Amino acid sequence: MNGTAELEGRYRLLLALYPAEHRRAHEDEMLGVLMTGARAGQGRPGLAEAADLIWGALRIRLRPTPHDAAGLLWRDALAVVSTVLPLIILVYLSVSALGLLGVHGALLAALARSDAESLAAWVILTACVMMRLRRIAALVAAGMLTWYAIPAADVPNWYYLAPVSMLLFVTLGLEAAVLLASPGPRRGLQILTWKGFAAALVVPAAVVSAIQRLWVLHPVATAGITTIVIFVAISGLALTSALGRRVAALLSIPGFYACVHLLVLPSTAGGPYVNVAAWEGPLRITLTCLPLAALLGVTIAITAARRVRARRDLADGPSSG
Amino acid sequence: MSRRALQEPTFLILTALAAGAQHGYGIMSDVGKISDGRVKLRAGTLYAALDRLDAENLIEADREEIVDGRLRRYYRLTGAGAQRLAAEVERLQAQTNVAARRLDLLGGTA
Repeated sequence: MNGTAELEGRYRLLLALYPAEHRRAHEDEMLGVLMTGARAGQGRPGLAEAADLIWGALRIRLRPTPHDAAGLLWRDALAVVSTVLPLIILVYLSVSALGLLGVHGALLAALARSDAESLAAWVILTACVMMRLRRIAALVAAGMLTWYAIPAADVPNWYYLAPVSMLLFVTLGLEAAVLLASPGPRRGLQILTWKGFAAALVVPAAVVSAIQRLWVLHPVATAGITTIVIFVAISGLALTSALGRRVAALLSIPGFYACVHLLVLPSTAGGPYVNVAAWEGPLRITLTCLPLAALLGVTIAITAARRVRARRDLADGPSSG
Repeated sequence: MSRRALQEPTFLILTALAAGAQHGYGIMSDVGKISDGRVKLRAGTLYAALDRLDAENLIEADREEIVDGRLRRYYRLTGAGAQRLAAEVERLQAQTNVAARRLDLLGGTA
């Protein structure tokens, strides 16, 4: 490799730090500028130049877009989540209920809670969402959260902090919150494509089917497979678009608890879930509450910082180069 | 509406483009000349600034050329960019005039 090609390759490595959209528009152009400014015989970028490119990439990545400034993209993401979240859970519970006959185990009993009342409540919530009854759906979600939370609080051994409980609480809390904070399903149904609906139906059905067919024989492998399916689905969504990234970020919150629940259950096989000593007390708090608190803290901090900056830019006009 | 002052690199980039459309390397060289070699723009800083100025509709792409197999994109000031630069010049001039008058009053040189 000659010096010019080597230098160009190193510049390309640094330019890979820029967002894909920026690279598509400016990579060749920037490369031309960098190569024109290079000294004869230069084989690698200077330290200051490399630092400047890294800093430039960081600034562009952190810059709020006009969509971000108006909060439109986030509002759309909340609307999409408000529409698909109850659908995902309903599909999961329905497939569970259909397959529960003849299937035993703490997992399905605890995770799905597929008793008739629970299933009926999710049907009502999903129906409200599909009928675009945003406020009523938010009330139903809040009521269901209370309905699940009150008995869980009476169960000993910190049961209400277990991942399965947190999964329910977080899902219902998130649903109520996104319904209130966005235009809700009215907008969500406008945005969602048939692919989005198909994914919301297929992924939970695939997860619950895998659990039902494989869990008894291979619990650890099943937990691994289903976690990978959830991870791939959320990651794939994040790669689709800026809106997809935001929807994926929101869905990753209940997704996290679903994965934690699946991954920790193999160690609990053989005993009732609520009596597992390892999950008692501070350890349970650490593994269930802190990740959520950290995630919420980071999200709030980033959102606040971006909003402050966007408002400042809108109010004050252009800033520095 | 009160506006924040433009920082120097932004001011110099807009000043460079006030003379006409220029490509990235041309802007970097021109900024060096305008500032008498004091400000040396690098590519990362330049393109972060161009990206933002484009988003704020102060500049826009003018045309593209291929030179020695490499893409050159030219940028030009928009009407809003020219207004913003003019407002900044006015602001700086007003401040400079005040400073000059006060230095005269104190018997110094402006």
